[in-house]
Amino acid sequence: MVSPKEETPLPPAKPKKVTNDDLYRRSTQYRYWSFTVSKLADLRVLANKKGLKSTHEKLDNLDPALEETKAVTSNGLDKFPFVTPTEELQIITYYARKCQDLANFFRLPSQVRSTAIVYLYKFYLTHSVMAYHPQHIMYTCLFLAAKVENSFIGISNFSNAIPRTTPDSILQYEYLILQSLRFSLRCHHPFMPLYGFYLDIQDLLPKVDLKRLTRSCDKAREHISESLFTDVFFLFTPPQIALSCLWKSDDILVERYLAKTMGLKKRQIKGELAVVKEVEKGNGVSSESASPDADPAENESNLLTPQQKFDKLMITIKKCAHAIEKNTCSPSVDEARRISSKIRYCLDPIRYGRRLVKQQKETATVVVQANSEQSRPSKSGARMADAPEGPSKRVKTE
Amino acid sequence: MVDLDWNNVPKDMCPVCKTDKYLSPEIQFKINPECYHKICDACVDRIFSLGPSVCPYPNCNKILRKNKFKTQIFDDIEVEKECDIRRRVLSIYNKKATDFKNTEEYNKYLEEIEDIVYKLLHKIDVEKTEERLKEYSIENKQSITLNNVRRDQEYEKFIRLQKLEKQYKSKRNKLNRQILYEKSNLKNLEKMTAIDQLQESSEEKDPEAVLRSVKEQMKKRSNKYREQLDELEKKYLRQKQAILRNEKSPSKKAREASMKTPFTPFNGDRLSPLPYRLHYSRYKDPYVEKVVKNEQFKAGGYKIEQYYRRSLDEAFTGLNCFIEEEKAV
Repeated sequence: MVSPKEETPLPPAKPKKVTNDDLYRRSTQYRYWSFTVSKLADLRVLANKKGLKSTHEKLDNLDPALEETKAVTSNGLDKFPFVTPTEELQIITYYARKCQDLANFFRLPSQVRSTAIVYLYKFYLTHSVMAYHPQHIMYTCLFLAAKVENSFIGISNFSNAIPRTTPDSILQYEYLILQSLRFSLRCHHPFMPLYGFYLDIQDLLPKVDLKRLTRSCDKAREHISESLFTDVFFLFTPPQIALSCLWKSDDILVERYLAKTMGLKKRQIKGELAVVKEVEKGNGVSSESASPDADPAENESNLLTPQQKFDKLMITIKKCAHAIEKNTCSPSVDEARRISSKIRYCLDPIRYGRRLVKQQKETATVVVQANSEQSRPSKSGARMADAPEGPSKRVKTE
Repeated sequence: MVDLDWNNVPKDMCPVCKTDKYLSPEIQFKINPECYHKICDACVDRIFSLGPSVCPYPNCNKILRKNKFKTQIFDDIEVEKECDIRRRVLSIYNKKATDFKNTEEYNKYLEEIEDIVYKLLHKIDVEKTEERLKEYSIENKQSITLNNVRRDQEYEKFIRLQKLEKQYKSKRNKLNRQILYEKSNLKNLEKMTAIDQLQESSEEKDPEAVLRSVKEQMKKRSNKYREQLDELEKKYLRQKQAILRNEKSPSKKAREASMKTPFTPFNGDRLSPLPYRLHYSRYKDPYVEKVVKNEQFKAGGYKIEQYYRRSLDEAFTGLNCFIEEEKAV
């Protein structure tokens, strides 16, 4: 049967209303790269598991006849230096900071720098550092971001400036990265929204001193740059991040501005701000309990009173600011080295075996020397006791 | 050699070159509506290729052009002549019965047409009638073109109907054939199973049940075909009605509708009010203002307003998207 549509003349198409938020909901950033906290954690654990699996496969594929393989297996798989999810995040952050330095070295605009860092984080949502070393991926991410954000650097210039790289070593990961980005290259950063708020505040609160505003915005820009090394990119929208960074540098300004946009009066804000603060004091638990309450109202977000809207937004902004502060980590060089060497062992387990063998030989000579002095304690027992500690010491001092 | 009687040319012979059908079977005769003298194809090519020329018939003296020559449709030249005249007159006198208040007027109109045709055909007051035709065509220029267009449309409709009917018939025949095929299959099967049954009567399975299930299946299939047939008929009738009602086909209609609605990138217009107010004069940014004062920037078409607007737009794009809530499913 033919649907009745064919018989009745088509009614003239009613133009739909599309708000700015609807537009954002259509962006790939929202569709592919926005997650809840738990989903994000799940993704990271999954990626870690994937990396563990690939390392295990590599271990299984080792030639059992080799001395190194024997050393690894006799040492026990549970002692193999696998990388934990937290360590993964640390090392990625370390290289993200390196990426920032490199971008500054090339004098790339903040847009490129931010995009490169975001690419790096996105890549490691689907892959583990145990499969790809973040150093190499970082170079390619920066190169790709420069291309995407219209600040192209030629590949030969790029690799010439970075020691121990060739054009091929950088380009070989390009397609892989594109694939893991699901070919969605556009990143919406909070810098532009921050500037938009800077303008809108001037319009809505004309009494605010321009110098003060400019100073706050400059500080907020720094906060935004710092926020790149946290997860807020995946958890909040760019305007929210921008506002929370501005809030961190000038909280009264943001609160007053938002109240004005929602059409609230000053007294109301003060009363409600107290409520918000109470919520904040209760910390994560109560603030999270607040969001499910608002959940059913989500579809009727237009029906929310300005007061409710204001509170909701403020809670989000505070959560975001909290996330920026909490997550900011800058792993030390030593720590990064430790994790990096772990990654190297995961990428190529035979190295670990070699290290073990060397270690064993050293301890053996020590034991032999000790034996010659003392009256023959059991050789194998000494070795068993020393071996597990040996490699980890070596790693730390490396 | 016997002189040719030009007024009574033999049927299968060209009077100009004296070729006839007997010697060259592929001979074709052409006539020109100026004088309706028949000339063979080869002669037309030969005489009129270089431009207009006088008719080769003696005492004719009409000047003929090659592009006006056509193949004769009717055997009788008189009929041919009348048809041509009628066609010409009817393309001018092209009103329909519905255009008149009553039948009497319409009859008068038809009478007039016949009158003109008769006069033109029998060469009575040719000049007068020609004048009459001309006057009428000038007077009713608009309605004539309108009616002509209408006639063309009707013709097109007719063609479409014909096409539709053809399609419908072929489809119907196909389905009917399939139904017949299924029926014969069913009969064959019955026979086969009957034989099988006789052969292996000790079979554990109930042969009746097997047979029944197979039959069911077959029947279902033929029923399906029958349903399709019904559907086809309905569809045909509906489409026919649509054509008769002078409607366009649905696909065409949809295409036209989509062409009328303007393109919008997000499948809808952004009619919702902006979440911010644009007060360009109120925005101050010492750094950007310095840049804008530079002629070099302005020369390329740089407009600071656009930059402001874009920044504001981005500031409110996604401000009220709460990911933690919206993605929590």
